Amino acid sequence: MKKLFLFTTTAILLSINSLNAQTILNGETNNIEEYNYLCWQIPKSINNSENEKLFISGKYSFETTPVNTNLLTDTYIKSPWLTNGIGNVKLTARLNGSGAKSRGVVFSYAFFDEASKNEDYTTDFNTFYEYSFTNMSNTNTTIISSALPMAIKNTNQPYKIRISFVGTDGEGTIVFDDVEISGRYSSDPSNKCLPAKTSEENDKEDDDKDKVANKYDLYPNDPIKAYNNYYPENSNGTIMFEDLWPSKGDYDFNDLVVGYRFNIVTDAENNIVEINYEITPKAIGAGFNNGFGFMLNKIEWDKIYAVEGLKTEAKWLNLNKNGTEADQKIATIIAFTSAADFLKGPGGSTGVNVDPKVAYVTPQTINFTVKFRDENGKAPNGFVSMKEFSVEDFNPFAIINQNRETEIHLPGYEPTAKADRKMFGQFDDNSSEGNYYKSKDNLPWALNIPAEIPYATEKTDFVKGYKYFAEWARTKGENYRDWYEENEKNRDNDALYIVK
Amino acid sequence: MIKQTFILEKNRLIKKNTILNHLIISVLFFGLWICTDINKFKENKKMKKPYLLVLVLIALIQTIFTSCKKLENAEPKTVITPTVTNFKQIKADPTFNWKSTKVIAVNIVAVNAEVNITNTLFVKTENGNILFTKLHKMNESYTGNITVPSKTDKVIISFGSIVKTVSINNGSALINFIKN
Repeated sequence: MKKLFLFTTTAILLSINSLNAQTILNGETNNIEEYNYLCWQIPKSINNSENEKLFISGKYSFETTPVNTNLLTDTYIKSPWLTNGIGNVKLTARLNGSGAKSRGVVFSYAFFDEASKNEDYTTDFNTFYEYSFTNMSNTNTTIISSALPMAIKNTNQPYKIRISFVGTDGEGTIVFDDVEISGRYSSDPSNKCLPAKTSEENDKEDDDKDKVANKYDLYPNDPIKAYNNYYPENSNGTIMFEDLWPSKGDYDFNDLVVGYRFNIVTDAENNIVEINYEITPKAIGAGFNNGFGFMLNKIEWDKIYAVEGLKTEAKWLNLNKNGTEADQKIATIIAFTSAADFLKGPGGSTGVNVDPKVAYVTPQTINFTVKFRDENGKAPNGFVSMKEFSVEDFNPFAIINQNRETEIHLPGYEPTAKADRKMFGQFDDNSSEGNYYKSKDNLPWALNIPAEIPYATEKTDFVKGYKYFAEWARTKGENYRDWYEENEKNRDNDALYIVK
Repeated sequence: MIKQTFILEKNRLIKKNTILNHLIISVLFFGLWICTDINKFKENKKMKKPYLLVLVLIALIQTIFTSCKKLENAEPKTVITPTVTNFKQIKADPTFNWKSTKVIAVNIVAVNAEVNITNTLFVKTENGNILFTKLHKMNESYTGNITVPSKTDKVIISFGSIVKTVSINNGSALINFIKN
């Protein structure tokens, strides 16, 4: 019986508390603009008081400019849109200054009216309470309070409360603070401070009920997918390899050139649903027959539900059932095992798309999807959030001359578990734990550019094509950060393979 | 290494074509004066020589003084001659990561708890290309990383009708909906 009593009492108290929502305005941020962002309307006739002696509570209070008009629309504050108020409108105020014949505070309300021609979309304001200060020389604080009128009590219809400060004569101001208005905050700062949509209204604009409104949902009929996040954001990226690692090569960086772009598809909870990849072998400037893959750093192989759209085969390639490479703890995907399968060179040439005198071969793009979720949106081994995954976790590498143990990664990036670590430190390589694939003079074997750029022609040193690259590198990337962008200043097109 | 040759003409240097311009202007004025006052010359031959001398001197002094003033707004011209013609000559710091991108932390400050509004948040480049999208609750904070081209120093935040340009400082874009 006692338990039942306690439960009932607690439930009643909680329900009263939730019903009796208060929307509060105090001056504590000392920045009126912030309140306006939150859909209060505070005109320039209201300021934060600068006189500490007049503060009513906390560190700051509000103060009107001299109040010497009875116009309700001159010196006022208007609340954000509120709903379901059942209690009072209340504020604490005091007079300041001299010469006043009268000073007062007036409470009014208005409803939302979509057809209204005024900028607030309100009906006309109706006054429901007036308070007059009786002694103009009394500067003590006064609590001014009134119950909400019956017309707006407990209504779902959005309403605003206007508190006007009025008076005649003199330079006296009104200092006020601790404005409390009964009602649930129902404005939407992200929609021009119009009333927030109700859950029913939101549902009507969300066909797949994933909480993302149709107008923003790129998959409005798919409750699992919501957003696309492309990288690079507006074009393909370019990865270029020198393939003689661990020895230095000729630094034309065209032994294998791969274009790439991927789209991380996320749900309403910011979890990854899938990543769609476009990988394009663009040039082969080597005698070696190279492959290409990438690790998804931090993502363990069994977090991947399936790799779909890839048909990779090689003697050295073993795949898990989900399509990731076998015997790898970290998810590793082999995009192609032989670039030559996708770039068939014209006879007599040592490479493809590296010599401008030889016919251009149109590259084939390999499209595939790495799925993190099953058909029902479930992730058997847990969701992967965008908070824990980033573009930086894309760790591409070349597999050199069909030798699975020879990988070349971007400088600083870790090799996969398949790489032969005995090769580190051999010849020109100076890799160390956490600082892989750099030569003894800190030069790389691979470059990744977040844009589609032309690469150097065969046997042409890369720095001849990009005039500011060397200076960019010398300054640790501080100067000439746009070294790769297309303009005459940056590039020497005679040294670059330009597709016409 | 790139040899940078700065043609320093910012201070102390006399811009040759400016001198020429002033000389031409002075001579023109002098010629005009002669033409208009030729009759006076004829009448006052005794006065002609010293008068002429003074005028020539004034013209020369004006030319020299106006020509020799500092060229306040002159940009230093940079003539760049690549002297590194071979990749192997590049002197790279051991800590250099060879990346043309950088990672920035997107930190969104939560607003007042009573503002229970959810909307789609876009982080965009200044050109309007979308870098990142998520459904965001205004009264919740968020921190996540995005990768942008190294040259990026601002991003645009779009959250319904709220659009803000946010500077990237120390690798972080701090987003506060209620502050500029």
